[in-house]
Amino acid sequence: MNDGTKLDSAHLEAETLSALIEGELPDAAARSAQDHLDDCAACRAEVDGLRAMKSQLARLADVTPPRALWTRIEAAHAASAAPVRPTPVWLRWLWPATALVAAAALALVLWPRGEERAPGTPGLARSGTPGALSPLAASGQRAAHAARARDAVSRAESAYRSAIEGLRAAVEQDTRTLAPKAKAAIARGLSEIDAAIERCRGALRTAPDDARAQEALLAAYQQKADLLNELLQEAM
Amino acid sequence: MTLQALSHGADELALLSQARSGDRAAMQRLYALHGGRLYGLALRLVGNTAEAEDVVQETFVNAWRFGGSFRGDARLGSWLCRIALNESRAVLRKRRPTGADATEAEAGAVLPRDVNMMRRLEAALGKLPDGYREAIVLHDVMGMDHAEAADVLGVEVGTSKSQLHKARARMRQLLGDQK
Repeated sequence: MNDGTKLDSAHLEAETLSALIEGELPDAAARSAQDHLDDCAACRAEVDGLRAMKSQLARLADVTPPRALWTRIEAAHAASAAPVRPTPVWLRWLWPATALVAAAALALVLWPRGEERAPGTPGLARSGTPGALSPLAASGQRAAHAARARDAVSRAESAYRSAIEGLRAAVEQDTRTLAPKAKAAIARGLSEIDAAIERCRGALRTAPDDARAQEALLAAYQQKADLLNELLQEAM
Repeated sequence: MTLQALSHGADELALLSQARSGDRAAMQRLYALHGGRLYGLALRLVGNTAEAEDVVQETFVNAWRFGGSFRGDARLGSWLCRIALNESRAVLRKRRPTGADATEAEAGAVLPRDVNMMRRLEAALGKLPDGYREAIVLHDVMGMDHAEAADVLGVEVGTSKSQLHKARARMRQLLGDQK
């Protein structure tokens, strides 16, 4: 090779042609390559192939993230930003209940939207596994996703009810520790959130797979978890 | 750097600062501005939607937690791409010992005129050595120029160019093998 165009062989190398279409070959090498192209149909075809591939690759950028991804990110950020503080003995048993609500809410957000993924993959979310899908397979997968989402809603509701029962039991057991302001906040917050949850449940009874209603329900659960955390910290 | 670029950089720095302080609207704005591009990058690097979502999630969470390292001397988008690239590399490193196939792709994630061609491209991308894949994804898929791609990769421009041309040559070979 004497000028960067690799003319030792019969044809120019694809690597050289790639640099040529980017205008990155030195002048002499570019002229030499162009001379070769003038006489070589195979290399001209390769240039066309490279240009077509570049154009097609650019179309791969046309992707849209799933709508739930932002909710996922918010939940993960909230989880990572949660402060770690010492807990009074009387409140310690309440943490699991609060954590249960948050975990259930997170589970709903992070519940698989695709097929089961390979083990050992990182991140909070576990939302599906690779695979190019036929229309039939995609339809079956959507049905499976919907079933999983409904199951996640059910689990979250169950966890929510358990947490509420735990909170009420704590209030009844030790009202001296809980300030009136906190109690009022509990009553007001629970009432508002329960109303929101009831509205979501009503919507889901009509349309069980309504992603917006599921997300709204999740948001209400998250709100509940936030309120519990706030009250617990206030009591500290 | 032009005055407009400086102003844009200052805006991005302010937006990131607000997001880091817990401003939900700022976080959402950052996601709206960069989420789609980062998702596209991650999807083409790791080859499946589940792990691409993980990468984007970790990218933003890390940006908000450790955004103090962003000084506004580079484009915020490039800085976020660099985080996403590193997260993608971590995903691939963790995946390899499990034997999971890195070449699987999700044609359903794109809206191509020629689905078969897109699938062939995705499959070929998945078979490229990591360095080649990163270079060609940043340049040809994401549309970055050599300077930005080199910045994201943390290499010299010449190295980025060389990797790109080798990657294209290998892609052509892989696509030819698929015929």
